[in-house]
Amino acid sequence: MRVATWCLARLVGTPAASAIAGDLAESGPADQWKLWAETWGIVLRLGTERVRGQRFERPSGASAGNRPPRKKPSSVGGALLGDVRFAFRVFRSHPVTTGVAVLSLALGIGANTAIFSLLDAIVLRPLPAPRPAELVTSRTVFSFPDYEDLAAASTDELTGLAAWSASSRPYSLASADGAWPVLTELATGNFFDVLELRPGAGRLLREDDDARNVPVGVISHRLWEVAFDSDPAIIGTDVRVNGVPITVVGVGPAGFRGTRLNRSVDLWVPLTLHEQLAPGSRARIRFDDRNSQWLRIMGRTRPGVSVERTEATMLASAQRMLALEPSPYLDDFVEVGSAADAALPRADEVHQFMNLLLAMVGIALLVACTNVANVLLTRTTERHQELSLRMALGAPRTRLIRQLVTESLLLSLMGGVAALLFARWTLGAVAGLQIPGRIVLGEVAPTLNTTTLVVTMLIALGCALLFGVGPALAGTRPAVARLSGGSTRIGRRWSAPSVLATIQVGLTLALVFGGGLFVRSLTTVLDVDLGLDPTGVYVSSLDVGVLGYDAEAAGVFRGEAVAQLESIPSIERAAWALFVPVQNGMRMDDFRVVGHEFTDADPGSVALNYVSPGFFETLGIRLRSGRSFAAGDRDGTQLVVVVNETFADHFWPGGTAVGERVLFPGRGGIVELEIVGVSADTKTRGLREEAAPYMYVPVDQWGWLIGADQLRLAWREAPDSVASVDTVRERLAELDPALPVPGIRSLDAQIFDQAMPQRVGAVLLGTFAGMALLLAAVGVYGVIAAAMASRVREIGIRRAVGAHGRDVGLLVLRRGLLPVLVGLPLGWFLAFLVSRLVAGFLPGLSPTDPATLVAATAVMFVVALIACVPSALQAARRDPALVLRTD
Amino acid sequence: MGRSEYLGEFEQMVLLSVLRLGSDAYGVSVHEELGRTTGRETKRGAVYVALERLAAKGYVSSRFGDPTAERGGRAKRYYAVEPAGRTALRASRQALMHLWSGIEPELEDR
Repeated sequence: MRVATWCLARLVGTPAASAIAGDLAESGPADQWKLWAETWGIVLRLGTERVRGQRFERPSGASAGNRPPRKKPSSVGGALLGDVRFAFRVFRSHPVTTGVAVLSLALGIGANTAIFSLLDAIVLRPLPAPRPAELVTSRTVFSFPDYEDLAAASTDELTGLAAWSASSRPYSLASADGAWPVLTELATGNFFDVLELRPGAGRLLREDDDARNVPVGVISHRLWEVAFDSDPAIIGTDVRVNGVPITVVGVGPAGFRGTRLNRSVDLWVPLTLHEQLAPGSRARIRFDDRNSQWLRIMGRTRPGVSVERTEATMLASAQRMLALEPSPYLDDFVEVGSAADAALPRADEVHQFMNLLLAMVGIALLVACTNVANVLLTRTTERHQELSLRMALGAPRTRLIRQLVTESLLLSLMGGVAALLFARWTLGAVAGLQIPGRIVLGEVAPTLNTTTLVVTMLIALGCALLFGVGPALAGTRPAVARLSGGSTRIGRRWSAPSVLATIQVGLTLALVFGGGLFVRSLTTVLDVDLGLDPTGVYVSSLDVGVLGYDAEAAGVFRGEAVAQLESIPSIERAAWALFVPVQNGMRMDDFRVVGHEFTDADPGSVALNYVSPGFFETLGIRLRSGRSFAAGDRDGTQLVVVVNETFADHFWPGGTAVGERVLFPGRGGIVELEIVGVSADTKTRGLREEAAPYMYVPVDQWGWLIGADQLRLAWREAPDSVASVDTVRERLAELDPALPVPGIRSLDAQIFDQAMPQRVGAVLLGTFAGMALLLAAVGVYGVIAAAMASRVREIGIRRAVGAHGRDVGLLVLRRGLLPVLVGLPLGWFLAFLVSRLVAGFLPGLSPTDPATLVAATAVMFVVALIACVPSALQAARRDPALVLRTD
Repeated sequence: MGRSEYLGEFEQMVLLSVLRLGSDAYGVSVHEELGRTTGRETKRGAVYVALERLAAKGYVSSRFGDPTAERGGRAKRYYAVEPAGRTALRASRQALMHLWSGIEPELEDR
C-alpha cells in the first residue's frame, strides 16, 4: 500500500495523491485487498497515461497547429530511451506473448541459477573459507604427539597447522530451552585461524583455549538461529554438553558447517575437553600416546608453497618420528592433498550427479530460449506490416534491428529478474533433498551469491542475443516485399518458427523421457514388499550413553521410555531396536546351527538386530510361526532368537524352525539360542536388497553387550490419530531433560529417503519436463496460429469453393503437426544421449527403457495435438464470406 | 475557435459531470455522478486519468479543500470547468449536432 501511495505521489504530486487516497478512504472498498488492488489500478492507469501522454504535455491553451515538431533524440542515451519506451508499449499490446516469454526465461534461467548456486556451494567451494586452494589436509589420522611434531616441522611451509577430531555421534547440548543433538568437532585453538574465518557473533576458538582447561564452545550459526533465535545474549552463558557445563563464547560464521559437506557440525570445543566430553571408548584415547591416532590435520600453505613441498617436509618429519618409534601405519602416512577436495565426499558420484543436473537445466534453458525465440519470431511476423511501413517511411534497417534487439534485451532482463525469484524459491523447495554422498542440499547453505548473479545475467544476455538477433534479421529482410505482396501467397513450408518448434519438440521429448525414467525408477524402487507396515510408525535415535548412563541404567531407561510412550492414548506400541528398517547400518556375527553340518553353501555369518519386546508388533512385521519376544525374555532366562523366513527355509526347508537351536558367540564363550519364532523377510538396509538370513535377539538378554549404545526408539500411532511428536518429546524429557530427541521422522519418510537420487531426479527433471511441455505446446500453437493467419484467404477460398470445415481443419492440423512429426525422431536421438547421461542413476531399469520412450512420445504427441486443436477448430468454423471480406 | 480538437466521449462526460456538480466536484462525487447519469460502472482510475488530462489541456482547474476526519485527515481536490473547457464542450456539441441533423429517420427502423 505504501508503495502504491508513493507511486501515486510520483505521478500526480503529493497533495493530489493525498486527495485520491482521501477519496478512497471516503468511498473506496472496505476490504484491504480490494482497496490495495483498486489503488494499484489507479496507479497503473495514471502511469500508462503518463507514458502515453508525453504528447499531451504542453502549455494549456496551445493549439495543435503550432505544436513544435517532435524533437529527434539528440544523444545515444535518448535514442535508447526512446527504444525502451517503444518496447514497453509493444509489450503492453501483446501481454500474453510477453508473459509467456518472460515466464519461459524465468523458469529456464531460474533453474540454471539454482543449479549453479548448488554447484558453487558443493563442487566449487565445498569448504567455505577464504582462498580454499591454500588449505591442505591429510587422509591419515594422527596422534597428538605426531601432530605436534608435524606442526613444528612445517612452519616454513604452513602459516599454521590445526588438528581436530569429529564426534562420531551427536553430543547432547542442553540449555534452559531444551536439548539438541549436536555433531561436535574438538579442535585445536588455531582451527579457525588456519581457516581464516570470522565469528558470526562473539569470538571463535583461539590458541589460549588449548592451554587453559576452561570449557568453552563455539556454536554454529544454524544452531544459533534454530535453538536460540539468534539471540546475542547466548554468548557468555553456560550450556551443558553431555552433562558438562560449557560456556558459549561465540557463534561460527554464517554458512560454515564444518570441514565435511555431508555432516553438519554445530559445536566446536577445544581439543583439551575431549576426555571430559567423550563418552565410552573415546575416553581411552590418550594425548601422549603415539598409538592413539584420532586427529585429522589441516594447514594453510604460505604463498608460493606447493602441496608437494608440504608433503615432502611432512614425510621427512614423519620418517624422523618413525625412526624414534616404529608404527604400523607407514603406508599412507602424510599423503597431503587439498582440504577442499577432502570436504566433498564421494566426489566422483557428486560430480556425475551435478553434471547430470547441469545437462538437464541446460536442455531446459535451450527449450526456454527456443520458445522465446519462437514467440518473438511469430510476433515479428505479425508485425511485418508495421515494420514494412516504417521502412517504407525511411527508417533504416539498422534502426529497426536495434529496436528489435532492445525488445529482446528488455525481455531477457525482465526474465532474469523473475528468474532470481524463481531460483530462490527452488532452492527453498529442494532444501530437504539429499544427493549422492549423503549431502543434504539445505545444509550446504546454497545462497544466491554474486557469482551466480553474474552467471545468470550472462545467460540472460546470451539468450537476448540468441533470440534477439535471429528474429530481428528474419523479420526485416523481406519487409517491403511482404507489404506489397498481400497474403494469398502460400507460406513456405519450413518457416523459421516451424524449425524452432521442431527443435523444441525434440528437446522437450528428451526431457520428458529423462524425467519419465526417474519417475519409473522411483516407482520401481518404492513398489517393493518391505515385509512390514511402515504407516504410522515413527522413529527417533536416542543416545543415553553420552549422558553417562551405564548398561544397567540404560536398561531401566528403555523400560521406562516404552511405558511412558505406551501411556499416550494415541500410541499403540513402542519398542527399541539397534536398527530399524530401512536404515543403513548392520551388525554381523558368526553362528552355527545345532545338528547341521556346515558346508560352503551355508552362510557362515548372519546379520542380527537387538530388539525389545513389541518390536515386531510396532513395525508390523508378520510372524510366520512361533512367538515374538516377551517381557520374560530377560537376562538370566533361556536365550532366545527369532529368525527370518530365509534363515528358516535354508536350514529347515519344509519343516519348522521353532524349537531348534543356534550356537552363537556370547558372554563367556559360545552360547545356545533357542528359536522361538520365524518372522517374514524384511528389507533391512535398503529397498533393493536381496532376501538374506537375519536374526533378532532380545536386547534385554544382551544388555551387557549393548551397554548404553545409541538405539532407535520406534512407536506406532493408532490409525487416524494425530501424530503425537510433541507429547513424545515431553514424556521423554520427563525421564531425562538433558536427553536430546533428534528429528523424529516417520518410517514412511525414511523409506522415501532411500529412493534418492531417483527422487531428486524425478522432482527436478519432472518439473523441467512439465515446463518444457508447456513451452512446446505454446511453441506449436504459435506456429500453427501464425500459419493460420497467413493463410486466412486461402482457407476462405477453399471454403468458398466447397471444402468442408473438416477438410480445412485437417489441413491446419496437418500443417501444425509437421514440426511435431519431424521433431519426434530428433527427440529420440536426444533421448538416447540423455539415457547415456542418466545410466548410473537408475537401479533396476534399462536406461533405454522402451516403455518410457513410448509413453514420453505419446505425451509429447498428445500435448502437441491439443495445442493444434483450437486453431484447427477456428479454421473449420470460420465463415468463408467473412474471411474473404477481411481483405 | 478554429482547429481546436474535439473532446473524447469519456472526457466529455467527465467535463459535463464536473459542470453539473458545480462547487462540489471532486473525485468521489464525479465518479458517482458518472455512474448515476450513464448507468454504467466506471473505473475510478479512468476518472482520475480523464481529470488529469483535462487539467493538462487547461479545460479544468483544481484547488485543495480542507482536510476532513472522515477521509482520514486528507483534503479534497475540487475541480472547476475553465472557460476553455466550456468552449470545447460547446464545440463538441455543435459538431455532434451537425452530424446528427437529418439522420434520425435513418435510425428509426434499425
